[in-house]
Amino acid sequence: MRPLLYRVPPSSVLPRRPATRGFWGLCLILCLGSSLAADPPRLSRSNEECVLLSQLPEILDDPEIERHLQTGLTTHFRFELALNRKASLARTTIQIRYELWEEQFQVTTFRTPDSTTRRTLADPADLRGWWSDLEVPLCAAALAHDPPPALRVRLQVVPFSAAEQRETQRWFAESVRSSRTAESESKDRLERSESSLDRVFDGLLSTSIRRRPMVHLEWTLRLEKAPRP
Amino acid sequence: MKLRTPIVATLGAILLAALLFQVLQRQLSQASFAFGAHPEVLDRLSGSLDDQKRLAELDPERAAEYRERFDRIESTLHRLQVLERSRADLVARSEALGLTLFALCLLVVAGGLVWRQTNRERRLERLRESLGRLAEGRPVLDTGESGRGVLGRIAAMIEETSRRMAGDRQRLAMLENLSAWQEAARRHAHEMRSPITGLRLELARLGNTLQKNPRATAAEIDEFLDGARQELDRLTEFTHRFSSFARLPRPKLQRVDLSSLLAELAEIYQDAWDNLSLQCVTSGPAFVNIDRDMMRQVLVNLWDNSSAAAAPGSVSVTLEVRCLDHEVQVDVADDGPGIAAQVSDSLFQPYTTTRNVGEGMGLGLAISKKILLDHGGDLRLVSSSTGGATFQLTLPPPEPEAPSARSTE
Repeated sequence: MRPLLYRVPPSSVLPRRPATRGFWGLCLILCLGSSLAADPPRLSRSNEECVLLSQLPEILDDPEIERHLQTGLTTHFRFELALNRKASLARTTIQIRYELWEEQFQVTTFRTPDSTTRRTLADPADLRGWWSDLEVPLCAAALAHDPPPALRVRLQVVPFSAAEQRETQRWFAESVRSSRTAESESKDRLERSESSLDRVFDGLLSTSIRRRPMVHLEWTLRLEKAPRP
Repeated sequence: MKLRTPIVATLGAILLAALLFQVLQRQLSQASFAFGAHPEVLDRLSGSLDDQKRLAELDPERAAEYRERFDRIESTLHRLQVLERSRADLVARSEALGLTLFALCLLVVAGGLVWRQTNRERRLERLRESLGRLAEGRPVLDTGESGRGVLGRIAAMIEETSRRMAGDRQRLAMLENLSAWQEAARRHAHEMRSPITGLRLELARLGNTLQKNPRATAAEIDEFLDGARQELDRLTEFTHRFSSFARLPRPKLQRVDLSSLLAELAEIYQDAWDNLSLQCVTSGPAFVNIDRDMMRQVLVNLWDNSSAAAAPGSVSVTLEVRCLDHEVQVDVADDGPGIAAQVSDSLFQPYTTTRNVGEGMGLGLAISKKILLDHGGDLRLVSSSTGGATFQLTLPPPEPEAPSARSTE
């Protein structure tokens, strides 16, 4: 089955400027789409309430994603099962972080808040092997009785974690503030005190550091009865 | 106030300025944010990480120290990488903020300009109204304009002009008042001097007669006393007329058919003057609220003037009644010698007369006009020529809601 859509939402996936960057990002997504179009993932029933997503597209082979994974930032792969474009049935997040000191990948799977699995992978080759064998469980009570024959599956690759986002926002705001204070050291004391307007601007600027997906893939998959051998 | 054009022009200027600002800002902001996460900086930090690891391997005793440094560098590197990932959003947000601020500044400036223009229009309108009042002769003691600048100076000039005009008007009124009093005093002195002189002469004659003939008879004395009584009667007549002018009563209005009244008066007074004949032209009833006696006094006065002006010749007077929408008009036209132009301007002022001294006080037309004004109407000289004079009496029509007779205090 062909992927329903390889798309980059105009305001959420790729940076809007400069235009060339958006263009190359679009090319990347299109290339990914064309390379993966022939081999979509499979969706099969695991048990009463869960389905398994397997034969995932080899997006780790993409040079940009491969390069990004080695930066040491915590990259999130968010899998989402849905009936339509909006309503989400189940969600599973896989977090991959390359430990620069140990030079190994830490992989954590969050299926539910209580169900977390961790494993360590030595190098990118192991990571790719693990990815190709990966079966992502997606569980929802709605699947127990008369599940629909076809379901939507979304995959978003988010380049950094919420904690890294917060830390960078804080660091950015402090950097701007400290540079402003340094500039006004020689000025009058009244001018040196930070105005509420400055704080508002700092807040507005720093909150523009947000987690936006690098890649957004979406398929409509037919639910198979049992996993393939 | 025509504010549409300046507002549209200002908004257009704001849009154009904002567009130019956005283009300029984009060029600058792209460059400034590119410094923060320069690839070379990231490379150096990555290299530094490798250095710390290598140092830790070479010097295991200080491995913890190198690890701590490694963590700090890694943290900074990650922040810069996150920043690099969010650079487009940061640039977009900073541009939006700059543009918003710029647009706000422009809007404030534009608002100030519009407010100033509106204020100026309002001040100009006040000045126009003040000038209009000034042109109508009404006082403008305060234009309500206290600002500085050209408009403030113009307002001050208007107020100063108004003050001077008011002063001049007051002086003129005082002079006219004085002039009227002088004229009245002259008239009074003249009217009183003649009988007093006559009375003195009669008394002197009586004194001389009694000196020459102490045994004068009662008949002889009565002759002098009759002369003195005549002079006293003239004095009484003068004071009577004067007091009637001074204490003219308010009209007692009642609903009257003016056409019938005029026809009736014309018939009654047809033979009152030897040289005057009266004709009345009416076209149906004309109801008005008037004081019958006062209206009679006005008409008799006009007829008496026509008769006196035409004497010793004869004169014909025509009365014509017209009912208009807003008033009832009565034309009293004679074919006498008319009224000289130099007199017509002050015809209705007291003590204005064309008669010989001692034959009239010049109060008749003043009293007549006052009566018509008290009725809510007027008395005008509408034409005056050698072919005669035409006076026009105007009276307001009666109110339809009050058909019954009423009177005023």
